Amino acid sequence: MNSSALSRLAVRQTLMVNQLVDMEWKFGVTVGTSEMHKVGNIFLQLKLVIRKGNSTENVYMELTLPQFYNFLHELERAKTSMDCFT
Amino acid sequence: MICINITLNPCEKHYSSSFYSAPSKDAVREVCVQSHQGPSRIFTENTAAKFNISPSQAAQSLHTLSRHVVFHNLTSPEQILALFPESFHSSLKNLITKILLENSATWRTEALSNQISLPQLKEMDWRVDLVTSSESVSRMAVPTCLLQLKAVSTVTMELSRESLDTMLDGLGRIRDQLSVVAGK
Repeated sequence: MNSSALSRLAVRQTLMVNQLVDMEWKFGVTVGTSEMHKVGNIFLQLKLVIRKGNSTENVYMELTLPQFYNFLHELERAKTSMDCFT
Repeated sequence: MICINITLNPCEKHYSSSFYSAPSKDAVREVCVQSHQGPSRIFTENTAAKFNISPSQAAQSLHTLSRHVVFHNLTSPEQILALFPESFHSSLKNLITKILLENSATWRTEALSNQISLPQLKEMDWRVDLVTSSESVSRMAVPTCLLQLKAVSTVTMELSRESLDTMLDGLGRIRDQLSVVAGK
């Protein structure tokens, strides 16, 4: 094994805290609720799988459409920031 | 004050026309808004004292009416006026209808934000750090992303560049699918 492969392996072993290992999603439309007969709002549900020590934890949350677009926008900004270090 | 009991049409709402003795239009408005939220012993007792009617009648009737207006999204005065019986005091009927119309948009928005859902995302923060060394590598410059999401609880996680790229891929697919749905 050459040294660059070895160093890549070593880097990969770097400690990560609460590492995100998986993301699942679904989105749908709220058709009605007990308070309102006809609704029609889009919602997005995310499940994030986080490694904590030897086990994983699932985090579930729901986002409205504006929240989703903001979330996406912020993560794109984070990626741009990370790309500065290529 | 005379208290006249009037029974309503098919919707089975029960109104007392002793709202006549309400001190002012604002008092009626306040009663409508408060009764919409739900049964409250203190509120019903205060209302009964103010209007000299039985507590359960007042609050329950208004509550049912305002919930009905929100549920069916009644937006025109005619639709709401139709819910009152013929013999209902006409200017009171108009006043209540006006108040319900004024408030129903707010009530619908409230109902939406209070609806059943998974923990709603409240806030998100991120930070990009540069990892310069670890116990297995003495010198490096590897970016990593910290992401904090606040819903009911707060969770902070770390994402490698690959994870962030994969996540953005997934979110991009969601965005594409959303624009297909929105386009229909």
